[in-house]
Amino acid sequence: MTAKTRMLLIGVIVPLAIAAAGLVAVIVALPTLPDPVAVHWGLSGEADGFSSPLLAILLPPLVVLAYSVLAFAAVRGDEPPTANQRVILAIAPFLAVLITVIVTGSTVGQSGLADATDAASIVPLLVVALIAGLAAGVAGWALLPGSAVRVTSEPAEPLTLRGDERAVWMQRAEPNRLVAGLVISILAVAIAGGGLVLWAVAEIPALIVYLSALVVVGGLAVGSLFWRVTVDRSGLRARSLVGFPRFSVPLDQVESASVVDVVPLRDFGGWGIRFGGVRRLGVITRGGEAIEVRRRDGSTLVVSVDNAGTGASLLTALALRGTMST
Amino acid sequence: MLITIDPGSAEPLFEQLVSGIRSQVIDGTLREGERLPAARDLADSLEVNVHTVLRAYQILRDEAFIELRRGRGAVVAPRAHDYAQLGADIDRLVADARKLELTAAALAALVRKAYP
Repeated sequence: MTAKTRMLLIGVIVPLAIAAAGLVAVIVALPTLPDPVAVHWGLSGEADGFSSPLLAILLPPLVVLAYSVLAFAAVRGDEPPTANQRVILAIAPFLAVLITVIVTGSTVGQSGLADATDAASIVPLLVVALIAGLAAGVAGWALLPGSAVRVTSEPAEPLTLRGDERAVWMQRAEPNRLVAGLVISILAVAIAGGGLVLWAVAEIPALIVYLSALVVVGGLAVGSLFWRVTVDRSGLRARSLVGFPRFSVPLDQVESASVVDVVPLRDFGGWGIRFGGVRRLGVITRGGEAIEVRRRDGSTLVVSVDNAGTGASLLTALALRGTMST
Repeated sequence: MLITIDPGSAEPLFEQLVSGIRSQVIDGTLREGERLPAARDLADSLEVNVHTVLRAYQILRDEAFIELRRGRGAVVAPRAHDYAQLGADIDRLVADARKLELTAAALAALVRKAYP
């Protein structure tokens, strides 16, 4: 079995099969279920929320399906997984077992009851679900192919600079139109939809709290996805368009600069400001070419940016010039 | 956007800035709508006076390569022309000049002379 097959099996196929089994179990039990069924339990262990069995039928498959899309997207090519991919993939069987046992188990457990208020306490089931879920996650983790050894990249060729020539390279780093549009439309829907609902049913203070929370979330999204990257006599700087945060590597700290090809989910577990290994920080706005700067202290900064080759070459040239003059 | 300037060159610094930015608009490295760095940031990076950068930006605006907007700074203007043909012509011209063992300065002088 290839590495890719095994990763897809653990991260996508088995979880979907678990959800499908739960779906079949609920449908088989459907004629004997009370309607509505209990779907929520109070702290005392007594059922206190009820709904149509439809929720129990749809919820686990939808959640597992949504996560499977992420897990599927995280598998790229037939290479052994990175640490980030392992985490994403091993969570899939954990999540599938957990939600299927809880939702499907608690619903099927009510079969034969005339009234859902008599439903048994959910606490024992929660314990079973958590243990089974963890076991599935650990098994998934163990069965995944061994972690990939990162290929070290070649330092970029230095750009040719005459004696006292000065140079600057500036480039914006931002998501491609699809991701940017997605982020903006999600925020717009959240502001408009959530705002309208709250405005209709809740007090004004709740609306204010909600909208300010969204402004903070939106600010963080913009702050971590839109950057200006500069390479000049002071080294490399990546500054968020909202002004903060900013990361920099002073010229005298540059050990080497190179171009790497980044797959966000595989290498950094997603987009934004991310860790992609030990002392390896990423400013990842999109997949594709990125500048990788190794510092003298052994830490690494990776910034996904267009024309990364030009930036890396200039940084190499400036760093070389710095070492020669001192 | 990569800009290099050589303080040792006979060409004034603002002209070096102009030709650096202009050539990148023409070759497509700088795309329409892209915002150029604030004059202050660029001046700081290149250790030149901010007025040198502003002067370069004004010349580029007069040549319609960029737009200067209050509050938004300098933005690459919509391309009035397609420079692909010119780029190809220049490549051929340079190749010919190389064959004839002409220096860049000699070729530039010939081109300049051809303008009325």
